[in-house]
Amino acid sequence: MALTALEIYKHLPQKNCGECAVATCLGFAMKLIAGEAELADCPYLTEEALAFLGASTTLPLRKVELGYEENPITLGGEEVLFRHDKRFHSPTAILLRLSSSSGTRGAKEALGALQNAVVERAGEVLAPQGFLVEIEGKQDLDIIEFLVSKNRPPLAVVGGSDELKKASEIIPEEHRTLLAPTNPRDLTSVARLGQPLLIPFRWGQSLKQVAQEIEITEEAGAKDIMLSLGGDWQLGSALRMLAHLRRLAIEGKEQTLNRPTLYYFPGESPAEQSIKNALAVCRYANAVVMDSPNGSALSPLMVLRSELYADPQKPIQIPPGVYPLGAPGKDSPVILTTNFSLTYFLVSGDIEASSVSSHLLIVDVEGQSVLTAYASGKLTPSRVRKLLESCGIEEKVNHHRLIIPGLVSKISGELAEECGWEIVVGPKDSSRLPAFLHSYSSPKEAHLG
Amino acid sequence: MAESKNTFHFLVGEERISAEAQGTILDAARSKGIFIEAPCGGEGTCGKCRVEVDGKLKFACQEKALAGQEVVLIGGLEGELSQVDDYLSNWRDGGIFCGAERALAIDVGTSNIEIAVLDAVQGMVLGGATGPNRQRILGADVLTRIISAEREPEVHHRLVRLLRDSINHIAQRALQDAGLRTQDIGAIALSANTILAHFLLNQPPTRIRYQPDDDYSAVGGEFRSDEMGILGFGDTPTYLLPPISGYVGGDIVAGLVALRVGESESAVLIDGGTNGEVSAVVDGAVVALATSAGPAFEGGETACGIPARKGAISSISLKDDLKPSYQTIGSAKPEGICGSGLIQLLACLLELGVIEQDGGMRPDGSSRFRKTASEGTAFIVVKSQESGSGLPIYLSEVDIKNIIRTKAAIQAGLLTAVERIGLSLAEVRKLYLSGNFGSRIDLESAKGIGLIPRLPAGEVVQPKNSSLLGACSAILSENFRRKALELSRSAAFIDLSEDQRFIEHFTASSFLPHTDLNWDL
Repeated sequence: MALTALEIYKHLPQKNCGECAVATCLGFAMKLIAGEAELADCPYLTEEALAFLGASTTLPLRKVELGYEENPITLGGEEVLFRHDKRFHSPTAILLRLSSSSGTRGAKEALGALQNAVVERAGEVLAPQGFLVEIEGKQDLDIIEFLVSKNRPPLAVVGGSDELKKASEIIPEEHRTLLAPTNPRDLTSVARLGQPLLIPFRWGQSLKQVAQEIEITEEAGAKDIMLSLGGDWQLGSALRMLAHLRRLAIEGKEQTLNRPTLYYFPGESPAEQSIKNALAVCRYANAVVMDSPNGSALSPLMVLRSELYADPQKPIQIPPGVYPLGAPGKDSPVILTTNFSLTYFLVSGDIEASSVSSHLLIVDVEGQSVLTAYASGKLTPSRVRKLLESCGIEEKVNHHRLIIPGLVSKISGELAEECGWEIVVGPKDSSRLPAFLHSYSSPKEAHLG
Repeated sequence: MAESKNTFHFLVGEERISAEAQGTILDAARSKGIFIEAPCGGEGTCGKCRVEVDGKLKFACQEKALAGQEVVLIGGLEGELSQVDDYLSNWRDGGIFCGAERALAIDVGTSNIEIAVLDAVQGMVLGGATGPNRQRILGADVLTRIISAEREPEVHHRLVRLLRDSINHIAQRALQDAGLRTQDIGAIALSANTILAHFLLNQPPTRIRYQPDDDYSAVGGEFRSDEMGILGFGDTPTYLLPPISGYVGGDIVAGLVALRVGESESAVLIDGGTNGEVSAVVDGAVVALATSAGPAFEGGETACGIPARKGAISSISLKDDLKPSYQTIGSAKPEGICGSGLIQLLACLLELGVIEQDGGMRPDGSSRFRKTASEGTAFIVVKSQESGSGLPIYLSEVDIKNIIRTKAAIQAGLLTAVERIGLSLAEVRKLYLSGNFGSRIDLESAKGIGLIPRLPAGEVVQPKNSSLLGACSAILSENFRRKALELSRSAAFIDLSEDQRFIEHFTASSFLPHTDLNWDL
């Protein structure tokens, strides 16, 4: 959406009634832009305004949902080219390719492999989302039947027109499955099956030709369309095309080619395929395929995806706990601050500059700075007490003296009472920490190595 | 409570606060919750904690508290009333508040209070007075005051009393200056931030820190003077400017309306006082936010910074060999540097390459520099033998860090406000700088350090005290009061504690002038 808050505001009723839960219409406009409010929240929009603002809020990159209807995954639906402009919505899907040789036993193993590939990282569960199955014979249909009756994972099915027709008879309509005909001539007949359709963007085709194919299949009844780029492309050209397609979609120059993409590049080894897929993830691919569930090839790819798709608008928080700065020992000072990242970096930087090794305690105040947390009632003695009890600092030092930020000197009495620690009021500004730490009467100062 | 023998007293205006005579005066003050600024931490090096004992100025951190002593806090800090006449002609429309002939217009600030006595019929200022907001002794910033008030009802009452006393005291002087008596006054208008407005009305301001974006319309509008404890004026009709949010008060509404900010072009108002409030206006749409600028430009947070009073270095330049030439307010012996001087000094040092973009200093080995473990390298502006206090006046790396953070908060507030309303800086046609330091700063220096943008297509205006101007206008004009109410209801408040873009802008602004040298293009 390219509208500014002001342009949206002009179409709002300007009553400042507050019924949308935002005090003012201009505030509501700003929340609309940030994606924190919806047009439907405003009860007084005129039909014209709704039409105008509704049109401008249509997602530039269309979205396709895959998987069982109660718990689908979304591909596409993006609004921005760069994450810092707002956020990305749908992380690239990673599909595992099932080999057709081993029948339902293979499918069972594959489901097991899917579970084995799960990695937990910083509180987030990373996993491949679904499977790509190529139908060559009856056993492949058995695999599909097994999967849609069991875990109902998102699926992409590749095959001829007849095989895909048979597959779609097995797959319930509410299990959205991406159908990919091997022969482009089958596109229109497969489009009629009512499932999402994967149109191959073949090397040497022009954008115009692909757009025509999209239009033809849409006339035949295809609603959700994705484009695939694959092994017939040179790696570099494929990556450039992925980026080009996204740019066309986001910049609003393209109303036909603005479809999510699937990138499938058969590689010689899992490592090589992982690297190629990583490049595609960085170039906006909405789905990639891995030929094997090899953990060492999958994990880095999943971590990269999770990093790229992290929401930059969530406050950056530092996990609470004890952070050793320098080489702190039993006598070293214990310093408290909050888990707002900027606060942490300022305070830790200033402690490091002092060369006085210290234990830095980070208390969870939902990512706010010291004074903000104090002002909003989040930096409380009881939170500090819980941290002191749970973080293991008791075993790391032989004293009970806690240095607190000077800005919250007011809570020192309460804090001492609640925690049973001696409270030392530190400087108001972290830039004065080096001076403070030098004169701080710690029995012995361990210096940074 | 019977007073033991070992007590002494702090005097703040009419109030006497007894304290136990133990340790230094600074220690005793702190144990009573009385705020005395001491950025050096009580080492006797900054000279800012001076108090009056037996008519002499002493360092509170070095002086032992003696039983029976009387220590005077906040002495005769009296500035001149801000000029507002030039702008008042805008608002002489005959819609005088309650038809008063003579009125008081009051700007209630976090640190200072200004009162103008008006001839409402002529639309002219007859006289006035300024003075400190004595609430300062219980905390330099409003947040500390809210929290202390919340913890102890007694402190709340004390804050209310200190504020009301301050106003009454200054009002009497203002009347004297104008040659009028209390009974001549037919109306009063006050402009204050939302927190001070709560104290004026003797309401607990607690809610503000939990719900800054709540509805605060009840702390604005028409009252009677006795509801605000403004004594001697009986039930004189009293108008309090309506606020936008908990952190953007009627004082900002006052400035926006009185200056007609953004009525004919896209414009930004930066009110730089103890808090830094920024508002951007386009086509009547207003966004407003409050950044935690802190008092670095009002003489706080830096070792040798002082308010703009007699003896403050207010303008300075450096020759190529770093020899300074400066002017002080009242041409007195230099005692410290005020905000405008600090900005000029920083800009000079930056231009001469003495300090780097990140605020680190590159000394040339001469005696103009000294290095301490606690403050890093410092540039000495005035040697101890030449200064009024007998202490050297300097700017250290720690001071520079503090100034950079204050600058970054204002810069990031500006960028966030402009961005959220959908403008670019290049589209801003007018930038208003008001408030205590905003109206005094040297624009070229401010641009040099990145405090304000270069605005190729725009103009910078420095009205004096736009909050006081608004209070005066509220007396004179019905149209003004109507517009103020409309604006307070329609302006959108941006809560920066939840704004990721502000944090990004702040980080990028924490350099001189900015990490992006073309930040304002």
